Amino acid sequence: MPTLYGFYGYGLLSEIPLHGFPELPAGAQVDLVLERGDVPHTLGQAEWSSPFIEVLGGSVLLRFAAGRLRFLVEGGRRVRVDAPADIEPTEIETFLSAGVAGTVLHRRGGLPLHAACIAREGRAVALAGPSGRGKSTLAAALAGRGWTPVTDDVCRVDFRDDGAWAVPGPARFRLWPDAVLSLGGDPDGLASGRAHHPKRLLPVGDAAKGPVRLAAIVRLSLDTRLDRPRLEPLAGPSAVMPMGDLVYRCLLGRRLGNREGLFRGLMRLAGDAAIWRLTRGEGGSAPDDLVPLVEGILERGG
Amino acid sequence: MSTPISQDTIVSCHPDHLSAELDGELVIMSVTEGKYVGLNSIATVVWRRLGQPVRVAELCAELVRDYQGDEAVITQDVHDLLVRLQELGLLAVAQASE
Repeated sequence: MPTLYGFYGYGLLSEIPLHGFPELPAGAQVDLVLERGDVPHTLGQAEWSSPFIEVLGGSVLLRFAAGRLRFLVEGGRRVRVDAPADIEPTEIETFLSAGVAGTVLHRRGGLPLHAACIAREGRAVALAGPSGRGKSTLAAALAGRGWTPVTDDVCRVDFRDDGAWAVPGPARFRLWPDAVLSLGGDPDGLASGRAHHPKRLLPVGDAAKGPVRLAAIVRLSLDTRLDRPRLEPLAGPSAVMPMGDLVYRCLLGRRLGNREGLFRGLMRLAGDAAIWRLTRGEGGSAPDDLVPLVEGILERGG
Repeated sequence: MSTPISQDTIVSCHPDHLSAELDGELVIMSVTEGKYVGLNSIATVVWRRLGQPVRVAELCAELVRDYQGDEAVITQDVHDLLVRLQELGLLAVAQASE
């Protein structure tokens, strides 16, 4: 029996049990369907392809686990998954929460930031940047200080008359083992969410139940010359460039026809939220060094 | 192969672009190419003069006159900017007919 979940602000009716997304009450609107079924290994004459993705017309094929796990996203409203029996639902959910979610959001014309997001007192801060910048680690550290988790890795932005809002995603953080250790946790005691992958799923307590006003974007950066982290406000074009560092799978979004939507969304975001750059030295700064800097942003008003 | 830009070239903003002003500076994206650029305040002035087709020599002369700048420097800077805009698909280019 399929279950209806809240999925980045949409109602997802899923045949696959999901643990990181809240169940919605019966009768809630269904925006998207996830079902099991046959998915081809290739779309044939794809308009655009990479080793993991093919685009043809309104369909996007995503291949994971050496092609054994395949998703077909059709029109942003239907997702078919083809997975052999040895691939656990949690692994399906891991990919659903990242690449598949990004594809759906692009297909629906939204603005998915490549960001983890946390909130305090009704104001959200998105920690944005390419993979490996420590988004999830810093978000988890802030969650440990009482912040409310909003999402991990993919942050859908919803624009309303009163500004930009961060829409909740999965209620967990996906961390490397050393990040779990740096937060005082035990990686061996956590599930992986993906076979033969060292990252661990850190569950969170009370996650955001609905969209949270997005007060600030913090772009995470690295500079090997720094011996202590540096926080600076960004203004003008540098606040939103390069766009590929801010948008989740930006190139795919452009290929899916979301080019104008992304541009307009980012420009609007620059007007609706304060944008900062937080730079740390290579090798990282301990989360404890970075947390006060992010907390200071909200104390300054965003 | 793109048209070389000379002082006789007639240039204008490519019609298929999106732009937005952030803190007094422009971000422009080519809709067809998907490429984008952030312009500083000086380049923004030049871009705004490309709304109508203009000969490069006339564009440079106007800038020298209005900003009392060094002609050689302005000519070179404008040329470099136009080439960059052309590479990004943001410039419509035509050679002046004799």
